[in-house]
Amino acid sequence: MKILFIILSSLFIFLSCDTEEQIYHYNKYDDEYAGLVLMAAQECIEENDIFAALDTTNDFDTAEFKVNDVYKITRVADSITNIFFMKITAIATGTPDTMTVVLNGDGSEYDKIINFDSDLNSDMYDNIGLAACNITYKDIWSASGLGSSEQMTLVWDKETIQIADDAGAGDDDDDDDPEAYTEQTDSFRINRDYPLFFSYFNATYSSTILTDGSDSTVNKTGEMTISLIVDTDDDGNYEDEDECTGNVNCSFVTTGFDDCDIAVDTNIVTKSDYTDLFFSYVANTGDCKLIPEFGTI
Amino acid sequence: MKRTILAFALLLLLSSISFAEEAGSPDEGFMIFGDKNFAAEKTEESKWIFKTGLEYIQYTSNLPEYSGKFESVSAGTKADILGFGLGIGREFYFTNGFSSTFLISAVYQKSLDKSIGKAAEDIDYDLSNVRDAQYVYAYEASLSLNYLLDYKTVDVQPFIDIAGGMGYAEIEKEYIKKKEAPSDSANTTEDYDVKTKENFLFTRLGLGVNFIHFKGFMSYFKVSSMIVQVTDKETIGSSNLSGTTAVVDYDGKEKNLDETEIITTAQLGLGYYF
Repeated sequence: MKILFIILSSLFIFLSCDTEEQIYHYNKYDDEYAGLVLMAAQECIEENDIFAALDTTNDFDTAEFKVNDVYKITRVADSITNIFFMKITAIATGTPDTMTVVLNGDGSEYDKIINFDSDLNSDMYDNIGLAACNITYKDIWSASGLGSSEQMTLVWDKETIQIADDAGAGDDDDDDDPEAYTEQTDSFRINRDYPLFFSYFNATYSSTILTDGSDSTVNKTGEMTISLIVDTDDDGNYEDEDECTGNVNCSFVTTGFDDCDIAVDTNIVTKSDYTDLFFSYVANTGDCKLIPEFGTI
Repeated sequence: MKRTILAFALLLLLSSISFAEEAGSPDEGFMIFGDKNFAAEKTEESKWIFKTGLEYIQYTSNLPEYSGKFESVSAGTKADILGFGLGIGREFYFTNGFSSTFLISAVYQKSLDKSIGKAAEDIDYDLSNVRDAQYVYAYEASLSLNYLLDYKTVDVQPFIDIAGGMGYAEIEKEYIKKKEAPSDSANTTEDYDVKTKENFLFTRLGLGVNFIHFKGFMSYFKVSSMIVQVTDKETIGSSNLSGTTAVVDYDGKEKNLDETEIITTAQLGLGYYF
């Protein structure tokens, strides 16, 4: 026992010889700071597997998604479930690659023909990289699952103050809170298996609203999930066609709807108004309404 | 973390000493050192000794000079290296408390220091990295002259020793500095990765003291001055400075050297007479 004590003592002393320290070269007041923020973001994008995986969506010819793939969107809000289907009806390679997607809600006002291209997908990819990796936007955006090669989660915290503190009808309170505001958190599940704008349809949404003169807030939640129900392989063969029987026919109508282009704001990472969207529609024909995050439809 | 381990080690050391002292039963003279201690039983006779403990050496680095933005290497930089030593030998008793100890010892010392240079406190970007690795082992034969002072609770034995031996040292330094902005050109990075391997001979003169406890357990402390003669040296590695793409290659071997350095060592440990 005595010898054991001596040997253990010596061993622990020996192990204590290694040291590791961490130092900081700069602070936010240094000229180098801005460049280092960009370097950190660049390294984050280069080293995390998810960005290489998502980069595959920028080439429509080799991406996981194919023409005739059909996706089911399940929307739950106000305890009501709505089902939509999206079908990739065309992909054309070029500069940029283009795609047409038909969103069919079985006659709803959200049935649309959506035009998308690889440049827009690339802009969304850049937005996701900045939002997840650039600390400049850390108060608005956060991310998890960056080490995954399948899917990541991107959270967007938005807040809009409609009436500042000590203004409007509720200006007699003693707190420092705004008299009316809307907070909204969008949590997108971004997956390499579909075009990046599909992430809007695979997300959870929550909102807290305080109206002027009210003492209590109103909370709203909404969720959309997306699943692949018809998977087309490289030979054009379908799988999982069972989902397309019954009331839902995957050979649904794909013409006659409003024709909408996707628009991507390349400066979206700086924005945090609750009305800001991950992407928006630009109508070519008709009224291009996006499926709303909240409320009964 | 390292401080915790060190504190734990010291606690264990103290525990081991106490444990050893408490090992005897009351009828064996527990805590009555002056009346029935080891010295009283075996002082005036020769005996074997085993020693082990912490070894410190301040080894002189012979790495090539370098001056980077966040790290520099100067000639003759001292590297503090800690390690572990073992020794076995025999103490020969002369007369009137005088004795001499012949000891064969081996020392293994290794230190690894890392410094991660973060860009800033809120930026998760390792702008620079420094890794210093030192590794030394040595063998020696020593002869000491001891004098025993027989106190009541513990015997104190100051000694002076001389030693000769041989050893091997590897000193390695790695340093990298990455770009500070995406717009920086590739040659704004810095890199230094060099290792030296040295064989050396040495002579050592030391002064120390043994504290001999109950039942032959002892502890010791010693400081020494060593004259180290590096006999041959191999340098491996290269460096690159910011602002240039030129790589400086340091690869080379030198034999039959006659470089001498005077360095300091210290030892602290435990032992057992039997």
